[in-house]
Amino acid sequence: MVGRLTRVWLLVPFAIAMIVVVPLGVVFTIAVGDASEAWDHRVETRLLDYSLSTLGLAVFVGILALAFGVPTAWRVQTHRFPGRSMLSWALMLPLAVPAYVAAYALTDLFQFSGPVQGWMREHTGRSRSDYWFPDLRTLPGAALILASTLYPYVYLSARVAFASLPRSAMEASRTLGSGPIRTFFFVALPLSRPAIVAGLALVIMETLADFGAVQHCAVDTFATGIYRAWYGMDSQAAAARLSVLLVLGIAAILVTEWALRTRRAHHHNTHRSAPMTPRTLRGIGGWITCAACCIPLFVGFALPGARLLYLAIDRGDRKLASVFDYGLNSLMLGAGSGVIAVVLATCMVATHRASAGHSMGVFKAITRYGYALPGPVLAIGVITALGWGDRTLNDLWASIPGERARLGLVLSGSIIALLVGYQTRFLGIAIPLIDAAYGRINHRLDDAARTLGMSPAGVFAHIHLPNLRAPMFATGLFVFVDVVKELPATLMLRPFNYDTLAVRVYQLASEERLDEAATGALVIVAIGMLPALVLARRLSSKHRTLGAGLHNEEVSA
Amino acid sequence: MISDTCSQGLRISRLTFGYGRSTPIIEDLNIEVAPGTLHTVVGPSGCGKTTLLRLIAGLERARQGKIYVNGRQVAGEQLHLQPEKRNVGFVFQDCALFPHLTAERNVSFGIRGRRRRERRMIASRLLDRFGLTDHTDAMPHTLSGGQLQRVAIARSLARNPTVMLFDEPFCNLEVSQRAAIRRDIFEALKADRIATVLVTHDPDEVNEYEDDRTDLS
Amino acid sequence: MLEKLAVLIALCVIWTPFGFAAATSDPGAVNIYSARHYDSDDELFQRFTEETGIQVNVIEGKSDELLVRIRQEGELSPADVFITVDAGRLYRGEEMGLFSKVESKTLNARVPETLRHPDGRWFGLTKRARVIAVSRERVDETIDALDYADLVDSEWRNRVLIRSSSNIYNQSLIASMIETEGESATEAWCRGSVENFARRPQGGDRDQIRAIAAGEGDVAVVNHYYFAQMLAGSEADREAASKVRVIFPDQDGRGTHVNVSGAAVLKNAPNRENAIRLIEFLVDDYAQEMLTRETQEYPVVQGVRPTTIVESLGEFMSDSVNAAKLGSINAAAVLIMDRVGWR
Repeated sequence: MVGRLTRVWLLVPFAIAMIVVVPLGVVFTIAVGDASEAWDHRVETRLLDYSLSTLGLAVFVGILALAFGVPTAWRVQTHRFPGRSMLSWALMLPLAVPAYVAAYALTDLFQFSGPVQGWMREHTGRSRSDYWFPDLRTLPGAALILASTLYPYVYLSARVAFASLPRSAMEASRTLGSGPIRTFFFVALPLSRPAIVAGLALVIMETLADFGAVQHCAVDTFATGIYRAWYGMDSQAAAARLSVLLVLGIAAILVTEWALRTRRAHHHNTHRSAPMTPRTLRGIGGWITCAACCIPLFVGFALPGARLLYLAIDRGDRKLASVFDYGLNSLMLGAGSGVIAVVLATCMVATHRASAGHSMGVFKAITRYGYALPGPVLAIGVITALGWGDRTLNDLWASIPGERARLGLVLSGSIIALLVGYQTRFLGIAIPLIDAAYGRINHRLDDAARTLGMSPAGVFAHIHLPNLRAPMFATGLFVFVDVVKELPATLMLRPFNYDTLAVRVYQLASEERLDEAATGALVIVAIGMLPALVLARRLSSKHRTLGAGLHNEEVSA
Repeated sequence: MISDTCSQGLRISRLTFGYGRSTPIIEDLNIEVAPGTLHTVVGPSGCGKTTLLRLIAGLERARQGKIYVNGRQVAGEQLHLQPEKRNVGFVFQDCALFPHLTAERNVSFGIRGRRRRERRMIASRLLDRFGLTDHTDAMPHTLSGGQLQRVAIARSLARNPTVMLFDEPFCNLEVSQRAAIRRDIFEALKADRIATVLVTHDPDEVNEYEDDRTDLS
Repeated sequence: MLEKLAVLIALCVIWTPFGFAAATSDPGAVNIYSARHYDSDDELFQRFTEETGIQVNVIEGKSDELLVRIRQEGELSPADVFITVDAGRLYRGEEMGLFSKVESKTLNARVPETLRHPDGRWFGLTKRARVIAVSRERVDETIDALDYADLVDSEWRNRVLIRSSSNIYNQSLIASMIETEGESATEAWCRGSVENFARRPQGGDRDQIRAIAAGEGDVAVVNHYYFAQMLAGSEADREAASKVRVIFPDQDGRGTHVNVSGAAVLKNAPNRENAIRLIEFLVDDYAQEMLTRETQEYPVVQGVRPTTIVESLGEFMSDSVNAAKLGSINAAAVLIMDRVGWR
């Protein structure tokens, strides 16, 4: 529909993309601003530390996430064993637990003065110098905690990949003398690699952006370094420079992932593939598989959940009313952000579609990458940018003749800072989802409607919207949950009297008042379960429709 | 009664198969395919032709009956030899080439126990035999339907099977190509004394190499 | 239905920025940036509002966050009062040039000299002592006096518990040592202590007490009020605290190291009068009691009694280091702790 939309509409994607571009640009500006000023000595000496820790963490988490996500996905997708149908969706549940919550709960459980070691000492009569117990507040510990809450991304993408493996190729491999194991490594894995790599990239990005969990485990990564430079050293330049380095690292990962993915683009065969015959594991083998698949679920969800439940019941937040207050803040913030994200994403994608111009695609692509910005980084950009905005506004206000009270910090000091900050990051989720939903609406419907005299607005209202209801709701839900769980950006951007559940939990836990934080943490997990369950349902329904033609292959002899 | 010629080749005895507990699709089937002969199986869609091939290959498990490949029992009461151990060549309807491997690597996939160079040589020779020398290092998505099929056949032959199974090999090909394929392939199979089973839904299809026929309708 | 819900939510969203817009120079308000997180503080502020009609707005956060925020907000900052724990942090704010001088007879009279800034840039509100906690089971009852210096003795090898050097309370303790003993003696003490550590420093003060109870160490250095809070806390905490007793160090020498939580009026405060009034309110007898009731700290004003639990810890002599000094020596303290490898 080139030319149908007036030029004015071009502003919309542009403005939306600015939400991501401006904060990032501001960070870069601060970073290079004082080119003459040398790197702060305190930061410089730690740079190697940060780099090694961050790199080490990413590697460990990557390996563990693959170990947790790929074998379980394979077993669940292609085998039958006791507990399979429950594990199929339950393995997604750790997504509901933010890494920092898992860190608080697990370190509390396993520390020296915690219940596990206490029980061990009681029942074996040993005292502290007699035994060795792994310490979770270390880099490997942090890696385990992060991997156990993030592996579902790998699990999900592996499941989707495995579900679309060409059945005949897998069976051909068997007839060519390769048993199940060799078939897995030489056929299934290579074909699934692009999808698994995409899931892994997401896991690593989240790891690099993590703040609460690594801080609790006393691991110094770029994310904690940025935070410390900003607040502890009050050095904007140092924080900005660290941010730039971190963003470059993340960009490198994204580029690698993209390169790996496009090299394999032609591998997707066009043949429709029916799902493979599931192998039934009987007896001991089946139970062992069940137990092994339960491990990631246990570490990432059941253990932390159980500990928090115990603490909440045992002590709980003394003032449950305040949990309600913070919860309400979280909910309103989440709901508002969800609505805004859906609206903005829809505007962006709709105008892109209606204009069919390539230049707009750039804006869409840029905005998607807002998700790659870690919380502390975007917070720096947003608060600085809004601060400048505020000063400008105040100057304008003051220049108007007449006596009045000063305007104050209407942008950077209000909820607007939070709302903007969230959009910077979470439009990166909303846009791909809405984009995918739009992709399923055939362009020809648009054309047909236009030839019949419908205006672009009409097309949007009558052709697009009805098909977008469910995806819009799902998108809003995902953004909602991510906002409720978000921590570092919220810490840095929030205004007067506005604490969210996440902030409250973080504050209490860092004062070792975990028992008081437990209730709030459980609420966060409960809210987080919603998208995990939605995703899980989608997984199983996809499986069902594909398998419509095939019966359960369990054959009784 | 086990005749001499059928201690080789393929022998199916009283084969019965069905899904779950429903009525069996295949009941009490007996087929003998001698080495170097071509046996056609016809019947409408859903009558179990493909399933029969899958049973022979070991991709499905029979309810009752016995299957012998090259004199060795591979399926029977309590016995179900896994597909990878049966050495039965299977050419799938969609050729089922590995999309991530070149033609040559596809063909050498099943060859075991030799160095990479040897495997490549064997694979290249097979591809030459089917006129695919120029496409040795081509990726499957660049090949035509007929070429794909030849690669698939070469791939299965690389393991020197004694039994070869074809699932509707001609339905994706132009009529003009079919005669050529039949000539190239079935002559080679006969020459190598391989017992071949071919499944087709078209009973009128004429195959000059056919030796025997079973109708499952 | 969904659309109506969406519209409702959107309306809420649009409304909130105006509802929550920065509390600016509303004549009947005072804006506090506080690093203390206690519910009793909120009750106290409510009482202030009842008595004076001045609306109190509080933003809570970590000390560093708040200071940086105030500095960034600059002239437009709505912050009137800054409250934090530990004199070292107060020093940081002073160094950043954020605090203004306050001349108040009330404050000067009620807050002891060693517990307020000499120029009136900040005033202590509560007092806390950094004490030595020992295991009841594994440390002999007869030991009722200990000095900080004793902790380097070989008899305490592998028995000493303390939190990380990155914590401001430890930094201030070392700063006070530097002030009274000098740098080289302090460094020697740090080195000796580190060798006696039972484990790599981790966790907070409560964790050290719990670790004594669990048997991971026998002696710890903690702020007195954490111990008192545990005595008044959950069953698990009470049980842990019951296995520990507290000794005030250096009673025969310079006295126990004390620190303050304090308040300052900010330079760009839009409601300066209200701010001063609030701080004066906070050193009132009633306020002092309320401030310390939940936190189990000591009041700064003489004559006001602490909680029963704290009183049961006994009388003690505090050192005479001016709290204002603790901040200026902080950098040297951190350097020493880094050098001796105190994590």
